[in-house]
Amino acid sequence: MKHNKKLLMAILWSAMGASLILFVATRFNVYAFLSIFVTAALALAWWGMNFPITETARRNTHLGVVGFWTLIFGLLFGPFPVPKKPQYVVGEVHRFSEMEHGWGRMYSGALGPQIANHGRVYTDPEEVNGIGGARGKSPSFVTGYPLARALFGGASALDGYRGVEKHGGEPAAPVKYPWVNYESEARGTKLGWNKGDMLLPEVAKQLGYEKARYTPEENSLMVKGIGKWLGSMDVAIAEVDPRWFYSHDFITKGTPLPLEEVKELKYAIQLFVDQDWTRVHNDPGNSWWSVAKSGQAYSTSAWQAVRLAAMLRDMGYVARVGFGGINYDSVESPISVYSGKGEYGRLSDAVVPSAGGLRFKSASVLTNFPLKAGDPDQGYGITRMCANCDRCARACPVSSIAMGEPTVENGVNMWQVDKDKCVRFRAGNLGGNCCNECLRVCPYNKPDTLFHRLGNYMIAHSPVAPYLFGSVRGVGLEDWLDFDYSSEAGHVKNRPARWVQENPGFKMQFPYYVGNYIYTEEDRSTAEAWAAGEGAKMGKVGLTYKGVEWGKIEPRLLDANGRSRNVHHDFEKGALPAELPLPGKTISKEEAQALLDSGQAFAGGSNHTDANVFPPRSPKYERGVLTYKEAAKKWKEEK
Amino acid sequence: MLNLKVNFQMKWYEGLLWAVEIGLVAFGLWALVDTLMISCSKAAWRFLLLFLIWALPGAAVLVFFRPGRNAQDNA
Repeated sequence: MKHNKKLLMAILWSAMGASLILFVATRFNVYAFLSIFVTAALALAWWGMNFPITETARRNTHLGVVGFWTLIFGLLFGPFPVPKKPQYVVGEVHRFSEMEHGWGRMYSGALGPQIANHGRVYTDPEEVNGIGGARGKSPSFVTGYPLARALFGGASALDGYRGVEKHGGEPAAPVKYPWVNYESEARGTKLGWNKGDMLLPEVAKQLGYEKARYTPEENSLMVKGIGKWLGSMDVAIAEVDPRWFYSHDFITKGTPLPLEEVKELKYAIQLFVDQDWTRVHNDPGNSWWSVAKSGQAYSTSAWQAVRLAAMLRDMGYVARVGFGGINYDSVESPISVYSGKGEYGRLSDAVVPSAGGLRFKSASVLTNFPLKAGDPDQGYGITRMCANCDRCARACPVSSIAMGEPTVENGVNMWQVDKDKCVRFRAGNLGGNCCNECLRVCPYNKPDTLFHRLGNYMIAHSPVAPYLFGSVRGVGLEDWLDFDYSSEAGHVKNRPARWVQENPGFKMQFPYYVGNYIYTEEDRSTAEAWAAGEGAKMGKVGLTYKGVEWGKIEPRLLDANGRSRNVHHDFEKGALPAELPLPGKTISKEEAQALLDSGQAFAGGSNHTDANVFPPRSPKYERGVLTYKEAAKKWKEEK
Repeated sequence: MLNLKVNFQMKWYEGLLWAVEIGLVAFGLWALVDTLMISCSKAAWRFLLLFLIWALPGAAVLVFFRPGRNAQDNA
């Protein structure tokens, strides 16, 4: 009998040991992790029940458990230094053409005619003609439905306020060439904040005086206070690196944006608007809400930035506004990163813990108003966390987010999203008008509660928390907890991944001339064959992967070859015609060269060779390896 | 009239372990409430379960590790 008791005890301790070995061998699998505690408890209980316990053994086991938890507490909550923010810039960085990003390529037709005409599958012909005819444009996944149209419309309505023509004392009316600095009549006069120059009370309290002195530190506190008053979740301030400015503008289809004309713009103020936890949490990824919540955040942030800029202009300073969907003059994510508010994550975008991780949309104001920028070295352990977490990459319906290690693109070492695949799914998602999956599953995507802040603290400081919360190989704690389940909306089960495809065998013809811009062979999409249906099932259609189910496509929505038909889920008659017009045209190499040489057309993706960039790159900022600090310092000194 | 007399005594190291156990359960309850508040009921219950599982070894020691009548105290 006693022998059996001892045997069972040995088995229980062995089970605990095996759980421990499994935990390490599976790279921190959460089930093995939990099993360690359960088996340890059983072994201790069995020991206590069946064998004599001495006072010494009693004391030692008590202290052993206390010691274990003290160690764990120390490892999780200890004030370990936050890992240094990685040096993302490792090579020569070129300015990015706005024509080069996913939306620019898709809308301009560089990804093919079917996706460029995607809006036609969302509505019946009458609506297509109505929307398109009235505005002289094809409908899009944004303009196809009233809610999305209304919420994105807020940003469109404000676009005029970026222009040079004035309305009610403010710049108004869309301009053909948007690379302008509005100069207020007050410019040079330098009016103060208000009559008496009283500071916001909270700023006055912090500084210990009430009347403005216009020091950069005071200006920053005021701008942050006003930004938050306007509704921004947080306010980022950074010194401008001129490589953040787009080299070519999208709205005017490729107009170059010369650095010489914006030398005054030394500071960037960034405002963040939440896309709303409830909407993001409850969005199944194939919904018709997705793009509407994006529009809401774009419109709201645009309003905030336009108001802030109006104030700065009236005070006598230059203020340019950039806002979404596509009205930016500069890339937004580096402002978030180098203002000390975030870091680059696996999505190749900035994760900002104080703005819901990835859940925000931002707008920015570029100005010469003297400000004190945030600490560009401020880290949050985000890149380290993302190295241990692949939830967004797993969730992406078209596998456009990189698993594995970061790679170098345009001199920047980080994970690179396949923007063509991403945009084709988001614009051409036939089961909904966008996606949202990466945002929804990101561990940083939680409401800003004290408990969530504690989690962010652990991820930033603790050397073990990133392994515990986001195991890239096993099932991490975040997976097991299953935040995906919403008590308001239930569980996301069915996510049919379908997207507008190009005709079989499609190959884009370059040079391709659209507006003022010429796309060349260097701009060919690496996802072109996939876009035409080849290997398209590399999307996660019909798979169950790490607990996520991907729904099957109904047979009526597939053609005889099993390809996705370009027809809206709810509108069977609306298949796109086989032949569709492109917004631009294919021209010969000679014609393209003549247009570029004569300055009638422009070109210049960041991956282009120098000879194929029109106008030429800046020798000062786009040659050699310049860190952010070096480039920002040079720009600040530029007169 | 009910005359209730409660006699309670514990060693210093028992107090420490009780503090750890109470802390773990309290943390689990905080996680439960916070996560319920953000409409993640499944995650909320699992959070609580997680902390209860973590508290199991300590609970086993508190409940079952008591010196028996015949135990030899070598301390």
